[in-house]
Amino acid sequence: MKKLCIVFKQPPHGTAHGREGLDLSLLSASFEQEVSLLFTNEGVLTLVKDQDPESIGAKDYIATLGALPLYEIDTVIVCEQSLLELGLTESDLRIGVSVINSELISGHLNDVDEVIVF
Amino acid sequence: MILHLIQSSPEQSSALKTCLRYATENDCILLSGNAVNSLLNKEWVRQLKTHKVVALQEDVHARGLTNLLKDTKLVDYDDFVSLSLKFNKVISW
Amino acid sequence: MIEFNGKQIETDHQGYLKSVNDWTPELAPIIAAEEEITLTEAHWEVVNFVRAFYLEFKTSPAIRVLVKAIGLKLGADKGNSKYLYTLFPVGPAKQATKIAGLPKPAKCI
Repeated sequence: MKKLCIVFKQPPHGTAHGREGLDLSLLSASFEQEVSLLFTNEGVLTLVKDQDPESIGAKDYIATLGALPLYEIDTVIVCEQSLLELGLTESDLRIGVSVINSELISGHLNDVDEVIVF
Repeated sequence: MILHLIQSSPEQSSALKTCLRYATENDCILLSGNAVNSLLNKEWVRQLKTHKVVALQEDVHARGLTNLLKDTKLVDYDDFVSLSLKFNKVISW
Repeated sequence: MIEFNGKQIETDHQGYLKSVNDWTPELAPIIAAEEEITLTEAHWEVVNFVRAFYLEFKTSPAIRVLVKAIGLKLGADKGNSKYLYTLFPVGPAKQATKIAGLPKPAKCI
């Protein structure tokens, strides 16, 4: 079993990066890889509550985040600094996450076997 | 020990910004493609100063930046391969 | 393509409905017949489950997740692949999602 960290650094919608990252996450998890997710920069906007992507013709892959526990993806990390830069707090996010600082994130990136950035 | 690969300019992508947030002093940052342009920008140069940075010679040369980036360590594709093997992990940002 | 109530319903080359919204419960036995399955209460329980899963999470569950989620919702005697394979011999995720009018799961056995 490999430890895989999938990084979301781009905002949701407008590009397929976020959806592709999430597809890869679920796929890897269903093949019993230990998957963790890291949301950084505008990627943290993926987690914001009350989104309505279908109203702009985008696929609602945000809803899929709710299934993460069923896929046993329990480590969802949010970059504290990115939240601050965007003026957000944890209460603006739709799922339970670990908000941690850059130093701890560096440690996590070192610990895992592979890091894949979207 | 991580080798961080940056391929686009900081004007195009948040790759460099994100990488700098998490890169540690044991890591190496390899700039290729338009990412070499960041070495012309004082602010990025300042932030890169605390890290080990190399740039892909071919991309620097193609952009006519060889003389402007005299202070940067340049590597060729063979060096790139050796670096990838030397580090535990490669992250392509 | 499925002909139903005088309407043409579009499917992909594997028989999955192109649009989730084209599905009605009456369509399920017709798709099931193509899969050589006669729907019983037990089948319906799973079909309704995967459809609800899709509508909530906008993704079709992969088999491992299906087993787990059904176990949580319907009990351990149903949340195991043996039980599900008895109902859907070719593959529970594959067949139940098809009968429920959902897209094929991204990766399923």
